[in-house]
Amino acid sequence: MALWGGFLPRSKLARREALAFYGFISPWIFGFLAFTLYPILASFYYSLTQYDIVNPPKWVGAGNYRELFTDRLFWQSIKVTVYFTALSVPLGIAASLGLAVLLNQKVPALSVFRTVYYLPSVITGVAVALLFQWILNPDFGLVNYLLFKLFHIKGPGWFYDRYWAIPSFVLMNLWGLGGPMVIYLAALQSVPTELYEAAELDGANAIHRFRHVTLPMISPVILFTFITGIIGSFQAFTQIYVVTTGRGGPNYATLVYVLYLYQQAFRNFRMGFASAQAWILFLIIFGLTLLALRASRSRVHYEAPTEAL
Amino acid sequence: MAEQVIVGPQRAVRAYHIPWYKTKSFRQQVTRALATLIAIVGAIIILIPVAWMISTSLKTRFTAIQLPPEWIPKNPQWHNYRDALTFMPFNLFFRNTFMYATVVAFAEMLSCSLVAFGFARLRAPGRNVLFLLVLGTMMLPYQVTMIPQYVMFTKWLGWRDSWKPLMVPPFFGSAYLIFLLRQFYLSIHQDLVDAARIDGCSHLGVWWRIFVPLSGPALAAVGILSFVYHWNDFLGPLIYLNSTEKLPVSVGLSRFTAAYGGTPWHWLMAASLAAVAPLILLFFAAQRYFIQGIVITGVKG
Repeated sequence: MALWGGFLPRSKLARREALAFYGFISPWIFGFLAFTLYPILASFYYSLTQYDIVNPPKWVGAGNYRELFTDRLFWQSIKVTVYFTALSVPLGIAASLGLAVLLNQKVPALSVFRTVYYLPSVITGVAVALLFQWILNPDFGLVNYLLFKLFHIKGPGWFYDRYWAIPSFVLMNLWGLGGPMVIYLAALQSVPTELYEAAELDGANAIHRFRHVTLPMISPVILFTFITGIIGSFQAFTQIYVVTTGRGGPNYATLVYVLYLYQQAFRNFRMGFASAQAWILFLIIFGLTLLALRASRSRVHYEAPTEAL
Repeated sequence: MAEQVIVGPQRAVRAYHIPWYKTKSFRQQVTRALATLIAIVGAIIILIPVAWMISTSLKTRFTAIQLPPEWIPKNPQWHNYRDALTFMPFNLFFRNTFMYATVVAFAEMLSCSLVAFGFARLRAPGRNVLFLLVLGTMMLPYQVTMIPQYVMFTKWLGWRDSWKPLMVPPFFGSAYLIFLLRQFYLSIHQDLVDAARIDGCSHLGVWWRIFVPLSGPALAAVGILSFVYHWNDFLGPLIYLNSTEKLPVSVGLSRFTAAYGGTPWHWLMAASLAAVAPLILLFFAAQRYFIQGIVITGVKG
């Protein structure tokens, strides 16, 4: 009613305010139309065409999608991405949550630790990829040297080994666990201490308290990091591009989804085909997010009653 | 049973019989000591790669790959930095990246602040629907809009091999940062707004005289997050830029290896360190805002 019964409000003051509102958000509206809405529509159209940028798009209908489902490398890229996500997201959450719980004890010099652990999250991107390529070098890298020196184990080929390449990237990702750690730390500190005191009076030990007080209280934050972790991991690109010089090697063992998409779009100039890939990526991310929200509904505890999500 | 427990005195008596190693304060001290120990070990593990990076950057090409490694190089090769940074036009790369990240950070502070103010403090029909749209765009992977944007910028506007495609869109705001600032603006007291309005201040005046000054920390968080994000940005510049002298540090670094043939690890580490040095300095200078921005919204990337 309010929306359709005349778009602007009746009273002069309210109408002025509404106009001011549209004035203030006009940059976003323009940006949305030009850089989001139009590209979404165009991308969907391209995904139904053959398009190399130079020549006009040629309509192929569902051809790109059909081709994708029979494309061996496309399935390989999905397999690699799922494997990477399944390994890195749970490990990352467990490690950063553990670290946050640890630093939530009355540890001295808390801010120093916070700084040290958070530091790697600032140094993201290419520099980290180069650093780990060096540290995990099979022949003269630090890790294999220490493995041999301390345990007399001959270390694997890391990025150069098709079975170890993805775990190597997971290891590299773990180095940046300070980002989610800070979020968990904030969440932990907002749990009311009365709850712990009450639980303690009821005879709950530390493990009980963690399971029955801490976990439920911070479950929305865990869900948040879980979802953003999955989304981020499905969009992994930079470091894998740098380490494998854009190939996704060895033997396509690290050909993640976005890397394959990039190759198709900007190496082979198959913009239509790559657009179809982008749309499937969107559906995957959307589906996984919904699934995670669904599955968590009974397990995530919200302090305030919410309708959202 | 339960009624018989008399909490006060009984507790005192029991505490008397508890051996010292079972007392609560002793246990707490042990936990604390253990936690500290683990935290220190973890911190060392986190810092080792950085130490290794610094160490390697000061070695010669030969000693860099020598085992066992020399943690503190006997003859630190300070000139590695100069050599690495002149081997490729890194001074240009730095200038490009710095200009890009600074302009974009200021652009996003300005545009996101305006838009966030609208969403937080002004009422209008359709406002909530539009805000849901803002949040909705955060779900959309960049890869979906990347290709049409590329076509739009390079084919229609002719911005090939230029920074424009990377610098123009931020002037129209970013959903993530709008959301962050809106949360802040919601917490500013309405009395201030009302008083200013009664004194004849326009909406724009309220934004500029009240919200911008009061949200200093939040704006700083936005600026820093934006700066760091764009300093590290790789995919965008990789797609749009070709000529070597136009590259940002990130893409320049990644081209290092290929340009030289064999990998000059000592130079690569020197250049990488130089590339992240501004971020580390910024991090130490503005730690407070970093943590603040992260805590409010969660983390990007």
